[in-house]
Order: sequence, then C-alpha cells, then structure tokens
Amino acid sequence: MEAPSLFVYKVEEAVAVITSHLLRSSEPAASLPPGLFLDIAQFLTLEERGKAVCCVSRKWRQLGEHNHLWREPYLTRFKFHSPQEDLATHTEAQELAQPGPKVKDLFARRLVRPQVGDRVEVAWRGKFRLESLEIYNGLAWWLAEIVECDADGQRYKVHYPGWEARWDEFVPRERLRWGNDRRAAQLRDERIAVGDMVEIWCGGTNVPGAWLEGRVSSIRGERVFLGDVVAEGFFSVTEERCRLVSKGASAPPQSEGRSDTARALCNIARQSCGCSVM
Amino acid sequence: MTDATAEPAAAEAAPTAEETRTVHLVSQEGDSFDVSVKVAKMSELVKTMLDEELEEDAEAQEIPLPNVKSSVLTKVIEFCRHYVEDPMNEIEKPLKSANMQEVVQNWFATYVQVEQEVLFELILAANYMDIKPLLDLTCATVASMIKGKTPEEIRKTFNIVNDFTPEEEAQVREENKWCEEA
Repeated sequence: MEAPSLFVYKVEEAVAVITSHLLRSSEPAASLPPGLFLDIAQFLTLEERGKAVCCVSRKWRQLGEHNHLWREPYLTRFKFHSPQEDLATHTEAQELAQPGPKVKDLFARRLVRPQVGDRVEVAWRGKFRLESLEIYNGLAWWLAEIVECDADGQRYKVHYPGWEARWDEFVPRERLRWGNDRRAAQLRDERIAVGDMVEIWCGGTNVPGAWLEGRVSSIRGERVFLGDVVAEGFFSVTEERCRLVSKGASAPPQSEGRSDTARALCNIARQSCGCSVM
Repeated sequence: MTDATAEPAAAEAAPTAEETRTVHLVSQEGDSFDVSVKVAKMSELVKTMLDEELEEDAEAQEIPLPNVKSSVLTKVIEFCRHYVEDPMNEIEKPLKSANMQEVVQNWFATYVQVEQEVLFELILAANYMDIKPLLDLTCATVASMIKGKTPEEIRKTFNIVNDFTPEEEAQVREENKWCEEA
C-alpha cells in the first residue's frame, strides 16, 4: 500500500499520517515517521540533507528535497545579499511561495549563478601591498558585490564596497566565489598544521579588503609560514591571524560551486591578474 | 496499574499551587498517572485541557491521552519531571556532534539511549502531547544517528530498502554533490 501524501504540515494531519503509517508497518522502527522527518532533518547540515539523506531511498529523497527544509536556509543565506530588493516583491520570493519549483534547485542555481546584490569574493592574483609592510604575489579573494550580470550568467560586473566606482570591473564567473566563512567556522576548533590551507585577512580599517590564501609550509612557535605568497624570502604571520579553510596536504584549494566550476576557478585564479592596489 | 507513580515526598521549601495540585494523566490502556500541574503543563496539549477555574479543594482533573501507551507515558513523565527541575539546554542546529553527550546534558543524553522503536514512540508522543523540548531531544537523537553516515550506513541503521536503480542512485548522488558548499 502506498503511503499517503508526505507533504503534511498540520500537526493533526501529521499525527494521523504517522500513526496510520506505523500501524500498517509490521516493524514500526523499520521506517522513520514521515511527517516528523522535517523536525529531524532540521538538525542536519545542508550537506548532510543532500549528500546523505536524499541518497538513501526514493522516499527519503522526496522528504529530503522538501521545500520546508530548504526555504529558510535559502532566505537566510541570500537575504542580506539583496539589500535594495524587498524580498516580498522579489520575483524569486514569489516563486518560492508557489508550490511548483523546488527551493533546493533554486539554491543550487543561485550558488552557480549569483544575482545582482549578492556579496561574493573575486580572485585576484597580483602583487599588492599588505598593510604597507611587504609585497606579496599570492592569490587573494577581494570582497565584492555584484552590480550587473549578463543573461547567461558568465560575466559579472562587480563593485568593491568602499572603493570608488572606477574600480568596478567585469569578471568571468570563474573568478568569483562565495566566501569561506562557513567552512572556516566549521574548522575553528581545529589546530593548524603543515600542509593546511589558511587565509589571512588583509584589509584597511575603512574599506573591505581581501582574504589572502596560502598553504602552511612550516610552523615555528606562534608563527605560521606560508609558501607561494611572496616572490622571494619567507612570509609568516602569527597563528591568530590565520583562519583554517581546509585540512591536509592533499586537499585542493577550496572553492565552491560544481566541481567543473571549481577546477576552472582554480585555473583562472592562478593566472596573474596583474594589478597593484593598496 | 492505577496511580502507578507518586509525587516525590520531599517537596520544595515553599511549594506553589502548581506544584501541590495534581492531575491524572490517563493512558491508552486507562492507567492513571498522578503528576503535578507544573509537570503536566510541559505538555501544551494538557495545558489547554486544564481547567484553571477549578477550586483549590476540587478533585484532581483527569486528562485522557488515548494516543499514548502507559510504557511511553511513563517515559514522557520521567522527562517532564526532570526538566522542571533541571531544564535542557537548547540543542544547536545543525548538530555539532553525532554524540548526544556532546550536544546536551548528560541526563538527557542518557535518557534517549533507548531502542529505536521506543525512540520513535517518544517522538510521536512528544508531537501529540506537544512537548517541544522532548520533541527536540528525540528528533535530534534520530538526526545524530544519521549525522556523518553514508547513505548505505543510514539504510542499515534504520533498516531501509534501497529502491533506487543503480542509474538513479548515481544520478541522485551527482545531483547532490553541490550540497557540500551550501
């Protein structure tokens, strides 16, 4: 016998569904109560919801893709990125209110194709001075906001908040990433070790700056040495200035999006963007 | 089994009316459980059924709970009694660990070390009786059994049949790859 509709929100209905479900089943523990699945899944990360829950079975997939599990994360993740737009009148918000599109799909699409107003970071490999001290040639990720995007989502005009509009520029999607804040937060309790990827915040007091990335080449006392960051000599910072973004010598530099985007991103980011600022 | 449980003899120094007045919670089997109003009010369902206008010396009210078995109600009351004395910490979402001992106080983590079947019965009871902290605790416990596991391990844990075709499974895995960056 087919389970009744799984998309039940009202408590009374949910209880009826679950109870009938359990009564029918010879082994009550054989299956999770569907109506309360949403209560359970809210304790899981989005990664766990997608990569684990949705891959268990057809029913779990249906439950794991439920809009109720993705709407709030979507609005939380992206709402601050559209300060000019009232979400209530935003076409996408209207779309979200409809039963049709899956919020999970919108979430995935938005990650691949950021929208105007989204705060992103722009890859910049070039020489720049960090706090008037030394000159680096590492890869840095500059905080930026998208001000225009073309129809096919390949090119974006970005503005660097706090910087004059003359610095605005068109960049390909491959040079953009979402920030690493979530990843860094997950790793905040881990110790930094040789081979790990770390990022160092480089910014003035008045303007948003950039995250300079590097791989830890050695650690001496409180100081963390990074390879690939300076043209010659050594570059080190105190441990407290570093945030860990990926563990292990074999881990590739972290970047978001689909794997092909990520690869392209690394390739492009490694090309010199040849500009000097700060 | 009637009046199976009794209030602890040692009451607080200055018991309030809520602590001294009792109600009878009646299970599916018709067993009656005596609990203080304060404990019973942990359940929003019971709270709405309580008659606040009752005289001080009136008979204790009977609250029928036809969806809850005695064995489960015993366990639910155990939770509520402990909770009014020592409230549970809010459980962080998402869970920071798959080990409930690292998520919530020891007593509550031990409380949910039960058979899966009992755990699901507790979830249903917590939902029916509308006891938010118990629903949180039990749902978080099920989530902790999912956390950090592969789809195959989850199937084993909950005895779920994989009804994907190999092609479908490959596709759904591919579709969900991006979630690691979400």
